[in-house]
Amino acid sequence: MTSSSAHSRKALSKIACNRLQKELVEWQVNPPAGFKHKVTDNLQRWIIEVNGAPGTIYANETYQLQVDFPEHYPMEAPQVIFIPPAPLHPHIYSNGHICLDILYDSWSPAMTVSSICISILSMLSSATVKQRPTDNDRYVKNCQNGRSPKETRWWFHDDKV
Amino acid sequence: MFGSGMNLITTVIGFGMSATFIVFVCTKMICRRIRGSQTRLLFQTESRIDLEQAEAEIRGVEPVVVAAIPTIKFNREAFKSMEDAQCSICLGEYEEKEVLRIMPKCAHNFHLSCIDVWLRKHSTCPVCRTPLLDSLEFDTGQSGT
Repeated sequence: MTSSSAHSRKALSKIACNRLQKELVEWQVNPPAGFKHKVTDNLQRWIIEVNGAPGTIYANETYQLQVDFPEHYPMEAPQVIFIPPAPLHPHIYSNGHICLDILYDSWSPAMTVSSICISILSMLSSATVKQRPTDNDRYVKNCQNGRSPKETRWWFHDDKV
Repeated sequence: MFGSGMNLITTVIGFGMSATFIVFVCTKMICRRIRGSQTRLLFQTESRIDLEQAEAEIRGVEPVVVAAIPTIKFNREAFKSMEDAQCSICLGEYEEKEVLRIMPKCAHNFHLSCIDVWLRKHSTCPVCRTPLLDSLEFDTGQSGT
């Protein structure tokens, strides 16, 4: 489902390629704590392993993030989702979509994959209960034809978690 | 007699057909207008809450305004004190004689070619989100008084 959408996506522009190569080098020198980039030959899709931070409700749990870059990255945000099974969190849907403003409206080209990862880990770490968003079933049903979370009209109302 | 009757029928049919066509085109235009105003209405009610943010974020900056933002030619000597002489959009290090744009309020700097693309669709500083338009309007307002 997701792989077919990636194949139909436009290839990275030269600017996007250069910037991603720089990010990859920086990641190799200085990876964000708790994350591991799974090496592939595909610059346009990164698979990243996330380890729940010690002392949080996700300690000793491992999840996978899939980051897909658009043609005009970093002018446009990458698409970031958890590969199911996604962590149980009030802002993460069971299909892996993440309700986090910086991935959509609040994206800025000064952000990097590394800074996104830190935001996601911080979002996980501040959760106190393992539960799905209240509208999980309705949302997931709506996304059944492989819709990207970037097409969702998100409401960001909760800044506690 | 027969010929003139035939002519009359053709004329009547011709008139009928063009009248139908005109009515058809008019209805279509009216329908479209009604539907347009409805969607506009829906959009307005939906987005009223985040309208303020949307205005600042989605709308870009006029090319004339962008052109008025100060620029500087990068010079290693002058930028010696800067810890990280790098454009945070492309992550490239500044090279000698490259043209940079300096944001008026926050002084964050970027390659001219990098920031100008961003400002076509957005009006905030990529690093600190300071709205660019407010700062410009504010500045001109101050100089006026």
